[in-house]
Amino acid sequence: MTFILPKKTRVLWQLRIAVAFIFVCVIIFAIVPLNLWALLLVWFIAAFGLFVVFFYVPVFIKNYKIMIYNDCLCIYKGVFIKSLIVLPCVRLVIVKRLVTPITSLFKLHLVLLKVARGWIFIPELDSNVSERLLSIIQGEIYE
Amino acid sequence: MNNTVIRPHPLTIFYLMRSYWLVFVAPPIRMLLQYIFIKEVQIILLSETVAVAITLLLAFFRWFFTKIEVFNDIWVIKKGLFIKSRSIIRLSNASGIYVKRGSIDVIFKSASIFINTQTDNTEQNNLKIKFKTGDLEKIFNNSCTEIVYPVRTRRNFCRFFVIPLWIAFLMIFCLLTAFIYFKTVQILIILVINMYFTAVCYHNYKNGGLYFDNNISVIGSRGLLLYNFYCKKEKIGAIKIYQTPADRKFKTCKIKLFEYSEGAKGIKVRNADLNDTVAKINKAFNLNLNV
Repeated sequence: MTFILPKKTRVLWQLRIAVAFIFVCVIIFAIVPLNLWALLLVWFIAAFGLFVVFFYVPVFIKNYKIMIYNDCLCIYKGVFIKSLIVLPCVRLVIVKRLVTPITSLFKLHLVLLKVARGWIFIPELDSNVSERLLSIIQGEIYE
Repeated sequence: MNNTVIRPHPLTIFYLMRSYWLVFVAPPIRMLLQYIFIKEVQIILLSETVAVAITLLLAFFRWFFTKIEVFNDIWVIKKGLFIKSRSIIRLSNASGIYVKRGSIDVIFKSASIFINTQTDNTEQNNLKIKFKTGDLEKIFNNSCTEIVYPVRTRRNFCRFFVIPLWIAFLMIFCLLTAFIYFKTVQILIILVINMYFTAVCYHNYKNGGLYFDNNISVIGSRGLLLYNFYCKKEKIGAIKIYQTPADRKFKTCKIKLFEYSEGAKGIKVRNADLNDTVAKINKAFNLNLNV
């Protein structure tokens, strides 16, 4: 069984990152005196932001896959450094679902998994998909 | 019941002395302060010599009166001269066993063993001891009969020298522009860094093994340190497989395993063959991954 991230997640992250980069540029303009170096810095940050928003985020969301085989949860992700995480479901300590006001507008839920040595964040999934994923994981744990 | 009694390696004395690090740090600080304020330095004071001697003696006694008795799966650690303690650890309850060897361990034929008891990361609740290599083999033969030593994984020779090659290109660039931009000292620093990375890459190439079954055995490395890791399949918390662009070119991957414990250290095997690794994980965990 495979789950992929919806297009709404890509739009949401593009918006978030674009706002963050615009905020940084405004702060730089507000703090640093206006000269050639400040302009160069802002151009560099803006170029990096454009790269992240229009290349990195879409490729990351497209490559992100969640697979469930037998009693293992497998997450495949990454753009330049690709990684595959294999988690036996019985080893998941806490499974959390998070909703913010903005994600609720898009009908998306963020899923967090507590494993040995840290948390794994699964970017926003459709609400019905996240419910289905959590019920499958719960079923694997209690089988 | 087989009974093996072993004493830790004498190098443990230096490891035990680190608790009294202040005794060794205080004299140089004292000499520096004397030089700054009085412009006169006394190299050795009687009190400092006595403090170092007492520290050495304490560490020696702590080492001398530590013994480990191995009864199959059970380890009994006896410590102390006046205040005696006796700890009992059952290996089957531990989440993972790490064996570490560095360059100094290779010279003195020793190895450090760390047993993770799934409690926390303190030394009090986990077991960390340095053994002679021969004694360690004896212990493992007696107590860990299910452990299989992993076979070295298939390695790609070219993949291991990607980093040294890039540094070598940088060095050639420095040499070509040496007279204009870089001084000899900078070139020497880059040469030393390149030699270190080449040694680390060669060390990674020579060592690295994976065995997946009901028990998991891994040989990994960190810098010039070599790690062996053993645990049961049920105790694995997470497995992560990474591929950098260089790994994708040579069809290799890095694999990192974590045991199911908050104090888990994790072990990494670099540049293992991707297909081989995925096939082993698929077989052990009954998956159908296709990377």
